[in-house]
Amino acid sequence: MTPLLVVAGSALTLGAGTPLLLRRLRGLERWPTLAAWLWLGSSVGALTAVALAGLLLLLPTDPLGPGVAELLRTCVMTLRTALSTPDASSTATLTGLLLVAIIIGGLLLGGSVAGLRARRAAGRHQDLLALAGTPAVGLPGVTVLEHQRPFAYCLPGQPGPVVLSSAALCRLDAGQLAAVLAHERAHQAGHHHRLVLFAQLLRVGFPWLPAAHLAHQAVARLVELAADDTAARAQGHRQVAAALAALGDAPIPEAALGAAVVSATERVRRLLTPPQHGDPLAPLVGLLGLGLPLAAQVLAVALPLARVAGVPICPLG
Amino acid sequence: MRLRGLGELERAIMEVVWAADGPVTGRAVVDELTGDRPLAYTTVLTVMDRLVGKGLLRRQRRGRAHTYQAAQSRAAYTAELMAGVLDSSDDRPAVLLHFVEQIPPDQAEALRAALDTARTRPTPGRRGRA
Repeated sequence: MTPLLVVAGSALTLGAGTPLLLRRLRGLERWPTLAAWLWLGSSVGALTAVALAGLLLLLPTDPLGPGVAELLRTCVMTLRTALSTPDASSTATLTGLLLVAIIIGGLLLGGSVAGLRARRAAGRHQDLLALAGTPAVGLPGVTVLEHQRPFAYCLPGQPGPVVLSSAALCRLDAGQLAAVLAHERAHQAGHHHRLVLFAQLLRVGFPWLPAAHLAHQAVARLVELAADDTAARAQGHRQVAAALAALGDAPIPEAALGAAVVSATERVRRLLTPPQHGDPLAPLVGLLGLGLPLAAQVLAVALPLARVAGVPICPLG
Repeated sequence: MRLRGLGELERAIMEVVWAADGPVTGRAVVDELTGDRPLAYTTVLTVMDRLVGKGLLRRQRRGRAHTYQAAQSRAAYTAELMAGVLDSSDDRPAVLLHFVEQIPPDQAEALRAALDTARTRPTPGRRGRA
């Protein structure tokens, strides 16, 4: 029974505990890309734990019917003892099936809903952009949209399109414009769209998993910080901060303030504040918070299996 | 710079169709376009078929020829585009990464002050880069 318990514990920890830890580790924001991967890793680890638990419960009782393989049966008995799985009552089998189905179903659902939607939206958006936008003079790869609201965004690709509204172009001086473009190119070069898409896939496919919900918000936020840092290294912190203020602080009457994934104010402050030296341990703590429960689930299954592999009657190796 | 999605010719064709008063034939589009440059009739028709496939043009049979019409007005496309750009809902497709969202007015003042302070002293030495 022990491996099953360990795996269940790992699922709980990664699914709910590690996210709480990651959320408290503000020091991690100095390493936004690492932080984003830790978030995704925690969701994925919780899901592998659930899948492993399902597989443990599913170890076949009576493979291939009587007489076909007495050897196999003995093998499975050995495995079962090694992994101390409960004697497969129909409840255990059903639970195992259910767990595995939840994981596979979630991946299919998330992939098809989030993935296909993003794909279709990207294609359609590019078509419309080509019709409504005009190429920016002197800025290769940049498209301008006529709009009184200042905005800038990018589509995935290497190099994908970067889009600026006419109002944004008016408000930015040369240095700020370079900062905005550096930020957008950092998104594209860092494959940030994929990170956000993956987080969205997990959230759509596994709405019951707290880690997936929190990871989606966190990743959307962290890729902005990562792009800010890259842009700041190339163009200077003050330029990026000034560009954020220039575009974010626009007197727009309709001002439908969206739920910003990360407030511009917070990003400006972060860029203008020298790094705190308070928390150099944050990445270590984050890595341990993810690594320990992950290692636990792997070892819980791998150690008994390794032992079985040595048994001559059951040649697993 | 040409965008991957729609070529220059596709865009030019849409311009002609939008400018036209009602459905147009492929021939009319070719005639309109060859004012600028010589174009093969079949090339233009192929591209127009592609636009039909993308749902940007609608095709009807009129006697022996086909006529074409824009599926939506230019304004409608721009509106659709902007709706996608300004969509801030939590489950917008993971396609657009914005530079910045709007700053609430009550924070803007504090921000400008912070920027002014930063301007008067050297850039913070984060990662040792000016």
